Amino acid sequence: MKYLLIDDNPIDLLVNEKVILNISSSNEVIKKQSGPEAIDYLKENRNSLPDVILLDIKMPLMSGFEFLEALEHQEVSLLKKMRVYMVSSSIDPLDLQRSEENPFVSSFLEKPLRKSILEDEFK
Amino acid sequence: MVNNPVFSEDLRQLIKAGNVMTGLEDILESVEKIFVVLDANLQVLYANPYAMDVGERLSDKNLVKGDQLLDILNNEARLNFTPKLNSALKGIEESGILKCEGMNGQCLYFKYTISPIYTHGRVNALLVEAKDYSNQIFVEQHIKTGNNLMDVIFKTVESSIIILDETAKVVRINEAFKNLSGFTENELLGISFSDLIMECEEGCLEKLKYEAGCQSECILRTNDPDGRVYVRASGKMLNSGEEEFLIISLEDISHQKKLENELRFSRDRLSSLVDNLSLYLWSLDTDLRFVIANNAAIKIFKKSFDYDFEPGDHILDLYHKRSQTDLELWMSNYNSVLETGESRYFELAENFYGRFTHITVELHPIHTKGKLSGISCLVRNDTNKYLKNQLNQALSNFKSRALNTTSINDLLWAVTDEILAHLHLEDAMILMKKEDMLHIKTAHGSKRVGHKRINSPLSIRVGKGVTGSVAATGKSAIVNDTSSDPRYFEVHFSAGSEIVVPIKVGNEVIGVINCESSHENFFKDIHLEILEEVAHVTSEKITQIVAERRLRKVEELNRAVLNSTPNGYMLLNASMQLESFNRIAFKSILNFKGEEITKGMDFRTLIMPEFIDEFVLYFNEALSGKLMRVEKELMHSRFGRLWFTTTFAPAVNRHQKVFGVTIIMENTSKSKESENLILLQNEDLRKANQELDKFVYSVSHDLRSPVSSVMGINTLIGMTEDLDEIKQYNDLIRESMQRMDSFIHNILDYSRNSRVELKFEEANVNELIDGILLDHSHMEGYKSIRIKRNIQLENFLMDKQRLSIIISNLISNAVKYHDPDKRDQHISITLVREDDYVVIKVQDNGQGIREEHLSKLFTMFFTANLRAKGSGIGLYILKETVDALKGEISVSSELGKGTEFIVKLPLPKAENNNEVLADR
Repeated sequence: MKYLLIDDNPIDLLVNEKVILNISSSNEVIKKQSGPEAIDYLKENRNSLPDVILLDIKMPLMSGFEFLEALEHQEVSLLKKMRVYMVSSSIDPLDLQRSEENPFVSSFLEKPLRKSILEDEFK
Repeated sequence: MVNNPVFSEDLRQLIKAGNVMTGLEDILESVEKIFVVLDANLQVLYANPYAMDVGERLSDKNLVKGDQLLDILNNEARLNFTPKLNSALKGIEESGILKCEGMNGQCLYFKYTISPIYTHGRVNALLVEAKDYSNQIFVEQHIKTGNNLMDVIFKTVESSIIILDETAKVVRINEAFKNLSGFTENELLGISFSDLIMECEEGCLEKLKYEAGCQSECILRTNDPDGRVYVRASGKMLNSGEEEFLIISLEDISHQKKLENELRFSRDRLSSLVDNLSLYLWSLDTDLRFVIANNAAIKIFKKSFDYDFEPGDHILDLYHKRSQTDLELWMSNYNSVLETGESRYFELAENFYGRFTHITVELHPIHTKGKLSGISCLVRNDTNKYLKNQLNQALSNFKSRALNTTSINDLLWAVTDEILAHLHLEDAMILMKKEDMLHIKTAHGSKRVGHKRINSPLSIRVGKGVTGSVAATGKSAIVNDTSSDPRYFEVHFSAGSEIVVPIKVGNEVIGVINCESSHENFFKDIHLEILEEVAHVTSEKITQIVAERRLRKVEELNRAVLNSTPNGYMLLNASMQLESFNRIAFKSILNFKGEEITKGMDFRTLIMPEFIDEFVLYFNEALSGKLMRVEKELMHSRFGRLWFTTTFAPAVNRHQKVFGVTIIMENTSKSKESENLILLQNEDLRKANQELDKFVYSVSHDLRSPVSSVMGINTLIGMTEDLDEIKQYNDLIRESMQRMDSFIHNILDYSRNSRVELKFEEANVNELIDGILLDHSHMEGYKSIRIKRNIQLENFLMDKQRLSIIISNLISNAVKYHDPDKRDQHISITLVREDDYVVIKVQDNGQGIREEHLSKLFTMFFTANLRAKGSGIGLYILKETVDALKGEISVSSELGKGTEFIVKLPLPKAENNNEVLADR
């Protein structure tokens, strides 16, 4: 499985990468610190798209949802090929609601990512 | 006198006595009869002048003494007369008619008597008396013979003539009499004249026979059974020998008689009129002595002046016993007529029969044959008319006075002064009803003591006496003789007559007018009429006064309400003219327009020109029944900005009909202010809530973010045994904790800025910066950054805590976004004073900020960098703090080159600095 992690916090990126690799060392993890960088990556790797995107909600200049909007406008076909999980330390119910309403979002995951939850989701 | 034997005898006696010439000379000389005395030789002894005249007519002799009488006679007459004379000389008295022929051949007849005159037993003289009998003979002959000429005259003469014989039987009548009487001659012939007479004076016929020239009036009957004719008859006796005739000439005086009767009738009527006239008439001679007076005058003289009229009395005798009159006025007018000969008219008050009487007097001069001979005086009693006029005048005076009266008491005094005082009464008063009693309110006469004062209280129970019973029944009463009225009881003097009139409102008696006179039968219909009218007017006025009083009270209350509100009220009529307004409206318009409003002003002139069109529109809407409300902002030179709410409300009358518009002006400045304040506060609150939401969300996220990071790292630590790896994780944990710590500090700063009061104290900037730099020393990349300081103002008065937040955030920001790729990384801090400001500049050569992000830079939780190192709260706090100090912040930046922040803070004034800036 190929994972794309998008988070402005490098610590969270590191922690999440370790957790994913701990589930299976065969997993491939790509880390991007902002939405625009991730879009650039996806466009460049449209033939080897990640299976899963773990997307942080709160990021400067472009939030997780803004990323989805931008990608929907630019490359909706790409977006449709991936499972997107919103990830946040937020306990704001509005974020949960927006995640559920967004058709491209599979689920909302709370930080820190837990191994057991990831195993259930990505079997 | 020929046939008067007495005269002849006397004359004879006189002649016998030899005194013929002495005693009767005068008679003989003047009589138209012949007297001749002859001696025995028939020579004239005496001839009177008439005899001498006759002698001349018969011959050329005039019968002087010694002439022969027979010489004047013609032959035939001499022959006839001589035997008679001779016979007389023998002592025989002879008489007869002698026909003579005159000088001019005319035939004359003399009726004669020859009387012998004896002397010593012998006839020695003769008296010849003779009269010219020619006419009688002439007529006689024609009456008998029906001589044509005479007959024609007889028949055609206009006078009615009837001829009677000695036994007074009709012998002949002429044509005129036939016409007068309607009888034919044959019907009357042989009829006694007395049968024709219907009325005549006694001895009428004898008078006609014997009294020469006597006329007698009588009424004759005519052929018509009902007919009668008034005639004036004159008679003439005719002797012819043995026969005597009475010729009666009749003048028809029927017409004259009729006129006379009419005249007499009208004279009778006139005198009856004059005597029974209600006018008083008398006349005086030029010495002012009574000549005549009519019955009315004589009666009034007696009754009022106790004077018995007597012609010849002087006018002053009239006033001898009682002189209650304006004698001077009377006398001056009498004298004026005597002096000028012109009529005089005047009027005065008299006291006839002891009561007020008003008379008008006319004095007219009497002229007899062009000379002033007296004065006729005509007095008319016009008391009723005068009273009526006077009372009507009084009534109209009263009405006009009542019109302006506002109190009932004044009204009652107006009745008293204008009406009751003019009735010539001993006593008059007004009593008003209270419960079952009547109380005196005003009076004129014995009970009045001053302008508006009465001398004693008087109360009468309703139903008691005349006054009380009028109050009980509501019907006016006149008592002509109070002594005979059982209801009467003496109030204050023994009244003669009384009138009581109720004052009613509707059917309810509220008072009475009571008038009393000491005379019986004093009150007339006019009094009742006037007093009832007065009572009516009074009651209407009282009703009006009471209603007005109530209305005024209501109005006062309304006005008090209107004037006690802080709002201006104006009432406009349908033509947009000001009908009424309250004090506030007056003041408001005065303040805004500098104009004092008055009733009748046009609304459009009262408002600001820019509002006219709009307000007229609202006015018309209101006039059609809608309530309109408009809010306007006005600038006033003294009061500044003001908000006015103007309400246009339809003004309705009792019938719910809109007749105008009420305009209510409300100064809503205060409520508008608070409304605006609330709006502002709401806006603030909304913003605060929004911020709070965002804040809570962000805070929860930013606070939890490091926690969740640490929790994740903790999981990683659990998965490894490698100590180096664990140490690495430990560094990450510290980094996260630092982030959290910094965030918590920021939150504290934020909280402090918004809650803590300003506190100015002496600040040393260098010390401050030293502390801040120490705090930032552990930040990533700090050690490679050169800090430059240019502090030109080191010590100044400032809120130290806030100044620290400002500088700290500026440095923190510059450090966070340094550009690690640059070789000479630096931050320069400059602090200078410009006028009353301290200016802080922090400039770096860091990453710079995109231009499009500059405007959002100071909003909360905004970060302009993709790889943000902060929560985005620092610059927000910076801005807020600068604002709190009433300072300004500006930023200029160029991407890749660097950023410069300039903060300008006002320096507090030395004195009372805390208060000035604390007031925010």
